[in-house]
This record gives sequence, C-alpha cells and structure tokens, in this order.
Amino acid sequence: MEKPLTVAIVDDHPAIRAGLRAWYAAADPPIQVVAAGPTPMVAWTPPGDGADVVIFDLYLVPERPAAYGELRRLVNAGRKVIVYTMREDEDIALNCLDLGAVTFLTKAEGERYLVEATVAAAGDRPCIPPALAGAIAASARSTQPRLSDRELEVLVEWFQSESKQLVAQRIGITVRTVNTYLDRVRLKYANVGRPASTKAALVARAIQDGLVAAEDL
Amino acid sequence: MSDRLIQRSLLNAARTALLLIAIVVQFGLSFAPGTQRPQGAGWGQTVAFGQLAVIAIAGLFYLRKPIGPRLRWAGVAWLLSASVILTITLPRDPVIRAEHWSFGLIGWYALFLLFDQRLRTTATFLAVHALITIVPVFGFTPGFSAMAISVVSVIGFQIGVAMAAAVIRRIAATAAQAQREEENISTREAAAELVHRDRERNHQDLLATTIPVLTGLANGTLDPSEEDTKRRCAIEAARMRRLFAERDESPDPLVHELKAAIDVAERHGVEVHLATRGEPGDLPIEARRALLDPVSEVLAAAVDNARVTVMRGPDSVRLSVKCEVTAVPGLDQNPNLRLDTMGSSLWMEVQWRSR
Repeated sequence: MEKPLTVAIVDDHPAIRAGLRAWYAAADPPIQVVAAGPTPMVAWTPPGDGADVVIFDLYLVPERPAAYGELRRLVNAGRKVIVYTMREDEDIALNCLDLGAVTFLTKAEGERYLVEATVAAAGDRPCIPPALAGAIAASARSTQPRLSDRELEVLVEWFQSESKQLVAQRIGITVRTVNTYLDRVRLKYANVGRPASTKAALVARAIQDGLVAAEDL
Repeated sequence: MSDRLIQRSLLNAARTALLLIAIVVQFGLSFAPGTQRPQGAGWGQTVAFGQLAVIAIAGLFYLRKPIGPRLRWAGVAWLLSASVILTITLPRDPVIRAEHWSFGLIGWYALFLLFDQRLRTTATFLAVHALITIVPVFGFTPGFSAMAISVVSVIGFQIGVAMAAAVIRRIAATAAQAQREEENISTREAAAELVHRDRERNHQDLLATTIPVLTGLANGTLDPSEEDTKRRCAIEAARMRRLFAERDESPDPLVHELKAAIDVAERHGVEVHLATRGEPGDLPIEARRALLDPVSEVLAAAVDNARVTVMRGPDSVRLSVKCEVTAVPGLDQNPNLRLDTMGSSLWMEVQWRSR
C-alpha cells in the first residue's frame, strides 16, 4: 500500500487548523496532518520538515504585511507550498505564484478545493482554484504570460461559476478540455517570474503527462 | 468668458497702454522736430537710449505674458542703472533740459514693469529715481527748487497713474470674483436639476413596479404567503435598496449598490459569497442599473447559497450569479445576458461593454 500524503499546516488560528485536519481526515484516501502550528517553525522542524505539502497562511499576524519572506524561504528549500489566505486580492495571488507557491487558495473556497489542491501539489500537477483563476484573468501585469482568448474565457467562467461542468456546457467543450486550458495557463505561469524547483517540477511533470510538448515551452 | 480671461484682458489693456506711452515718448517725442538734441551728446546719452530701447523691445515681447519675478527685477535694476548713467554724464546744472528727455521715460517703463506690483513698490522706485536725478544738484540755488518742482510734478503724475493701475487691478479681481460666484451658482443649479431629474426617474421606476406590489398587498389581491409574491417583494426591496444606495458617495458605486442587493438576499437566509476582481472604473448609472437589475432578480430566486462575482476589465464589466434555485426566474431577454442551468443550479452572467 502506498504511503499516505502528509501535510504541515502553518496557520495562527486554532479553529482553522482543526478544520483542515477534519477535511484531510475525511479525504479519500485520507491525508495525514503531521504537524500544525502558528509559526513557520512547524514546517522546518520534525515531524513537519518531512511533510509532502505545506499549507501556509500568508497573514500570520493580523495587521502585519504578508509573510512573503517566509514563503520564499520554504520554496527555496524545495517545499511545495499552498498559500491559504483570507485575502482575495489579485496582486497577492500573483505574487505568491511568482515566488513559487504551487497554488493559491482563499479560505472561502477551502472546503471544496483544499484536498484536490493538496493532491495536485504533491504530484507536481497544476491546480487553479476559482479565486486564483479570477486573479489571473483580471491581472493587467505586463510581466504576465500571454493567454489566448479561449484560455481567458475559461478562467473567467471558472471563477464565476466554480463549476467546470457549467463552463463546459456554456462553451460547448468537455470538462476534460476545460481542465486542459486551466493546466496550460498554470504552466505558462510556471515559466515566468523567479525560477523555483517547484515550477520546474510542474513543467517536467506536464511534459511526462503529455499535457504539453517540450517544444511548446 | 472665464474669470481668468476677464482679468487678463483688462490688465493687458492697461499694461499695453503704459508701454505705448513709453515707446511713443522714447521713439517719437524725443526725436520730434524742434526737440533740442543734446549738445555734444555724451556717451551716457547713447548708452541710456540703448538701454531703454532694450526694455521697449522686451516689453513688446512680454505684452501678452506675465513677466517673471527674476526678469522684472533685472529690468528694474537695468532702469536704475540707466538713470544713474544719465545723471553722472550730465552737467551738474540745476536745470531740466533736453538731456533730461529720459527722466519721465524711465518712470513710464517702470510703471509698465511694476504694473502688477504693489503701489508701494512703484512709488519707492520713482522716489529713488527722482533722488538719483536731484541729489547731484542739491544745494544749487535758485535753480534747484525749480528743478525739484519739475521732478516732483512728473513723479507725482506717474504715481497717480500707478494708483489708477492699482484700481484697475482691483476692479479686474472683483469682476473675476463675481464671475466665479456666478459660475458656482449655475453649477449648483445644474447639479440640483440633475438630482431632481434623478429622483423623478427613480420615482417613475418605483411607480411602475413597486406601487403595484404594495397596492396588491394592501387590497388583498396579492397573497403574502405565495412564493411569487415573496419573490416580487424581495425584488422590489432590492430595487429600493439599490436606489437608496445610488444616493451614497462611494469610491466603488457598482459594488456598493451590489452589496445593497446582496444584503436583501442575506436577510432572506441566502448565504452570499461576493468576489471581485479588477479595478473599479467609472460606470454610468444606466450601466450599473442594467448590470444590477438581473442580479437582484436572480438573487431573489436563490435558495441556500449564492456566489456573486464582479470581473472588471479595461473596457468591460461582467457580473455573475451562480446559485441554487427552485424555479428559474423569468429574466428579460438581452444579448448581454447569458443564463445556464444544470439541475437546480442556475448561472447567470450579465455584461456591459464600454464600446
């Protein structure tokens, strides 16, 4: 039998930590929370240092700036970090991707996408939850990759409806194709900003999966 | 005519007149037939004439633009130096004569240069200029007093002109002020007119839809326990809330009014999650209404929970509601509106484009 996935949770709020534990325990197959605490220390010290995925609250201290420095250190150490935050701000979401977080999730959508995002992150597979899709679609940054009209439309509709079935129905494509568009967008973002081992792993995995050809990138 | 324009044209006319007097005196009267040319005209005469000519040419160039402080004071120093040069090169006789052609002239140029300065400044300049002319011959009697009388007369006249200039400046300022006040009043009137029309239109809107519901409830033709009545009430409540919200000052009116509609839905037990992306832009009130009306109607039909999103791009705004419904509301057909259903899920998107 395969070893269960393990996560370390960095969040200052005990109720959030308890909620995440419950969601992970109910996942199929269950995901094991090996460490949870209010500071990044839990991800650096045993048993959290060996966790497959780190769930990271960007705002550990209320009224203080986002903990981008801590995020960067974790990414530099090769950790797969899912940023999990109250904030909806599109700039924050894109900054996190730039720094090498594997994905960005708002607490409002945690219940539906956290487990899916964790499994994707552990397997180096792309995952764009709706809040992140909205941020990417609305972003006017000059440094962002060029997206096709269809990719943008899928991002916007996924953000709006939170249902790939509805998006597929409206555009007249399959859910599988919706996923392909979203994955491609995520890979385009893996190719911009500062290099990170998580980004490289994402691209390598996509080539293995046949999602993109090496020459496309 | 804007207040600035009034002020400028009045002041320009006065300044032009002063410069013209100086130019006519220098190039016209000083050369007029019968004017006695200075005997063995000293170098001082030539230099001073040139100096004043420079002021005349520069003055013509600055006739329609304000003279900067640096340039103005350089001009004043230039005039005083001309006054000094003339005085030291003239014979020390207590008589006003042809060689003194420049005495009044320097005063005129000074009036032009110092036109927009305080009266005190102009008076000080003229006094200094007079002193420079008189001091070397001080004590020569009896001619001195005769010369002093001439000097004081010329200077006195020029101070009188300077006072008139100050009055013109004050009149111009008052006229500009009056014009500004008049414009303020007409702006306020126009604003009040707009607000009034807005209120009338709101009233018309309510007459068309809200009044029938209220009438129906009052005379019993509408049953408050019926689902449709409840839905209509919710829609009207949202519409009224939105009209109230239109009155508020908000940096983001669209989201502010949207929140009013969401608030009504939340009072009916629907959990609404709002997500906005993109920067708030300027959206005309008609566009906001076209976007918010269908959203209110869908929210009125929502049960359990709803997701509302606002997506703003550089030239479009897209509002979307996704929720669970028991019955699909009948929305007006509209090319900017898209509606999809899947099971009990309803997803409506309405779009506005600036072009």
